[in-house]
Amino acid sequence: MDISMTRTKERRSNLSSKFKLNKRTAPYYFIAPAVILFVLFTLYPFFRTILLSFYSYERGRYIYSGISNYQRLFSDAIFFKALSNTFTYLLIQVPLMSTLSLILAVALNSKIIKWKSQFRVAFFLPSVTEMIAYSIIFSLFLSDKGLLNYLLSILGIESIPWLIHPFWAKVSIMVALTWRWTGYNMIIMLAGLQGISDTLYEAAEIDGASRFQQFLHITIPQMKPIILFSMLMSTIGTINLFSEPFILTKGGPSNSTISLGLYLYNQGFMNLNFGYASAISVVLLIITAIMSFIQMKAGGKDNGGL
Amino acid sequence: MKKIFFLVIGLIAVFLTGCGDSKPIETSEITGKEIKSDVKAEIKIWSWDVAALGLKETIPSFNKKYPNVKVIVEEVGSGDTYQKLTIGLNSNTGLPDIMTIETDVFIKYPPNFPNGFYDLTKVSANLENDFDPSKWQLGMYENKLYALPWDSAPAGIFYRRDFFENGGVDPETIKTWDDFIEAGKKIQAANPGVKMIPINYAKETSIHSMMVNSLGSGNFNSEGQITVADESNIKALKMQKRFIDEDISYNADSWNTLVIATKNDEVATVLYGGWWGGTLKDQMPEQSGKWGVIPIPSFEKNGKRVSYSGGASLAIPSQSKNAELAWEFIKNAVATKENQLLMYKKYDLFPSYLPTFEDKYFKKGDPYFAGQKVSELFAKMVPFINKEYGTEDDSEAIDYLLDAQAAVLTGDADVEKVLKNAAEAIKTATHRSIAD
Repeated sequence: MDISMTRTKERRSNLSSKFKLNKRTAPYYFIAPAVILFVLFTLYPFFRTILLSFYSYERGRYIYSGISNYQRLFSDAIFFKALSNTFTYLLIQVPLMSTLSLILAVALNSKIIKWKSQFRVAFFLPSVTEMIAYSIIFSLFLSDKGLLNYLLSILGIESIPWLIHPFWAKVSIMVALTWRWTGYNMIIMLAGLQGISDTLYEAAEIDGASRFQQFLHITIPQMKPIILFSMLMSTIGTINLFSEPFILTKGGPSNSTISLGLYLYNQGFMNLNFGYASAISVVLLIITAIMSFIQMKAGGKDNGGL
Repeated sequence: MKKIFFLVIGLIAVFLTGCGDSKPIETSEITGKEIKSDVKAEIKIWSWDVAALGLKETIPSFNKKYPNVKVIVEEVGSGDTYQKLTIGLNSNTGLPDIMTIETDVFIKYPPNFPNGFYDLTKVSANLENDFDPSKWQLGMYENKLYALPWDSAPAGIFYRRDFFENGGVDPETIKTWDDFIEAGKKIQAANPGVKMIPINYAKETSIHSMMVNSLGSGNFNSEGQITVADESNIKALKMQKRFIDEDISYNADSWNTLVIATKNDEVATVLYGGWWGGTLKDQMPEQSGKWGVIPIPSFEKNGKRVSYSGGASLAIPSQSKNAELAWEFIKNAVATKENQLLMYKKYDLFPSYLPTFEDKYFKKGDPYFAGQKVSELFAKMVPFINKEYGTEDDSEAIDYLLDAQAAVLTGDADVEKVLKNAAEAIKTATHRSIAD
């Protein structure tokens, strides 16, 4: 008691001792670099973006323009097109990819398959590939005179307008996304699978459950938090989608593949409407937050959700 | 914990107050004052591809006058250039002394960054009549010149002599777009697998812009009003639609597709700026002697048959510490016959400096084009290219125009309606009025 009192006195008398490295202050020093970087590169841009969305950039300066950016946003056909495209990707591509990666993970976790680690590497490889490099390769494959159409022509199939037709362009973007991210999600699911205790399967087997029943009633319920996490990450990734439409289609034809991220970039960096781009990014943020909230809620408390 | 929280909030507040108070700085002006020839300095230039190589060729002649000036040409891709330029202008640091910028793209920078570039008006006053008029206009903003034209890109129809011969079509008889369509049908009938003209339906408006420029219009008029729904734009888009209806066009969805289709003998003509000749020679040396050039067809009999597509300009960012020297370099590179000719001979960068055309090189036939005097043909067009009035909202206008074009060419939309919608959309986005 006595000792602690004197310590308090000392601290008050000498301000600089507050910042001295000791057992009490050390943790703060340890987290300081992360906090400073976080403030500088995350918090500051975050607040600055929100503020900028109420300004418009004209003649080299930011002029306060109230909610005019938001007013424009809600009457902007391209914005709604981007929004609907993003949700199309979200509703079709994310569930498909998650299912695919779960199936792959289960397959690669089973005891029957040989060369498991080689397969795992092969499936994971796309997600460590440089994004730009793979998008360019895909655009070479998919262009009208590209490899894919050449192969189709050998088989006697008429060439498909992969990147030209609104429908096929969307398909191409989804294929590219799936190619890139399935392996990544598969690894996450694989980690989850390995956390399921063997005893559960043993018990089920003794009770006479088939493999499919085991998958349905043991694997999936046990994997729920992992699936939730993987889908959440995919959802956020899809909402912020940029590279694939940027390189493969430039958002075209007729904005049929434009994503919110790409539209934001076009407005900010191509049209130099920084204020308007900020407004788009604020809306993007709100959508991401809402989507995450819904998914967490759907996951339930026991499974890592809210 | 609370203290740290307040500290963070305080920090953010300090940062945020820095918003919106960018002070107006007077535009810096190049004065053209005498520079000592023994001055020691370094000039950094950003440029790309053949443009960079071309500028490098002019360094020796510059160093004759200023032997102690070191000129460094850095290769920065054209896409990267604009990102770096935007960031550099915003942060007021990191830009070189001279930048190569595509003329059509440049126009959005001076209005958005009023003190981003040196004002060249005073030192270039006596040069205006010597340059391509269309390009000069695009370097100007509020009666001040910020970029000097470099290479011109007069447009022409590049055509395959062999395909035309097979179809029994004399290219010289093609005067209007109607003639062009008729010729296309004959040529396609005689050359199976060949399409008359490649167009990028959904990702590029270059053909539309060339047609509209030849009609004397553009995205905006001289008052900055929106003209994308005017008569010229309607005519041009309807003509492209006719190409599709008459089945003489091919959707070249990318640069690669266009080059491959050309190389595979699948297109009979290509409509582009004169620099396309450089691409042909570079990528398809085996087709030497098979190509020819005619001027862009007109919409009416005896109409104007001149247009352009592309070309670059040179500008000096106001961050430059050696701006006067940079100007001397630019002047030496693009406002002298010798260097413009040098860059044209070596890299097909077509001069925008009109006195260059007096050289006898422009009277010579080109073996790649079966001896046709292509240089002379293009040189004669340059002084007559229609002025184009760009605004800082050009890239936005092109977005909406492209949208309209794609809707017509890949879908079944009504030309007048989509152009009207595009004009309305541009009006909402830019607060400009639509021209009557």
